[in-house]
Amino acid sequence: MIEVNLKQLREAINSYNNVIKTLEDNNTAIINNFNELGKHWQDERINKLSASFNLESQRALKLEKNVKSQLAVYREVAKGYEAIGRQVKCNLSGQDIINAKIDNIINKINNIIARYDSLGDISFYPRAYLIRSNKRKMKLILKEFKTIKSELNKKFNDIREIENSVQKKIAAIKVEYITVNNYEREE
Amino acid sequence: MDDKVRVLKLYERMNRIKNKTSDLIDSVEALEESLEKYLEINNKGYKKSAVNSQRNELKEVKNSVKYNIMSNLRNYL
Repeated sequence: MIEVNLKQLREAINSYNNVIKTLEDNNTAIINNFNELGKHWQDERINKLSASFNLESQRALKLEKNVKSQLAVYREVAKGYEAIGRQVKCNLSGQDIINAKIDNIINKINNIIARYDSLGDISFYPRAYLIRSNKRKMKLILKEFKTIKSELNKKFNDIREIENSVQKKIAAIKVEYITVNNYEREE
Repeated sequence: MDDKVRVLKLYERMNRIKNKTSDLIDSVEALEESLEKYLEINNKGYKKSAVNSQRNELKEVKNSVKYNIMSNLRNYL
């Protein structure tokens, strides 16, 4: 089941975006400040400190890059669902079930229209105009159900397109695990 | 063909149409339930009101067949 609350999603995106900006500013400040420190104390031991700092700053920048790409996914979700609605609950597997139900309805209407057609000459009956009017109404209802089917399928397909596009982006994100052992080895 | 026979034949056919329309209304009700279950936009089943409106149209058609046509045909029998 897909569930989207666009208002809350947008708020969360803005909040996450602010946190990322802070992270970005902090990373830039840390790099600048560390470089500044090196100007005021020169010693051969500084090489080890620099190497350690380079490793940590690379990690920090990688984290920054990764969280930005995660935010981009959420932004795409929000942008895609803007055209659908403020709140969406969808089970894509329901599309086939709904199509089958509408096709069944369309078949039944066609069957009823065929029955009206096969009434033959009803001109002898003073209220034949009512029968003709009901047949016309059935034809309008048939047309309406065809339109409903088409609009429903469009909506399901739009949602499927958003989800597929997001899935591709998620698949492209690399998940890397840093173990304590790796971290210790790097030291 | 005798008038009464023609009327009776029409009555029987209209009765079948009425029954088929009742069955159709049940199918439309089932569709409405599915819409709520599988696709809800802004807290309501997508196109549920459009389907509901068609269900009301069908009820009107069915009532017209039952009360305006079949009841009237009975007067000729």
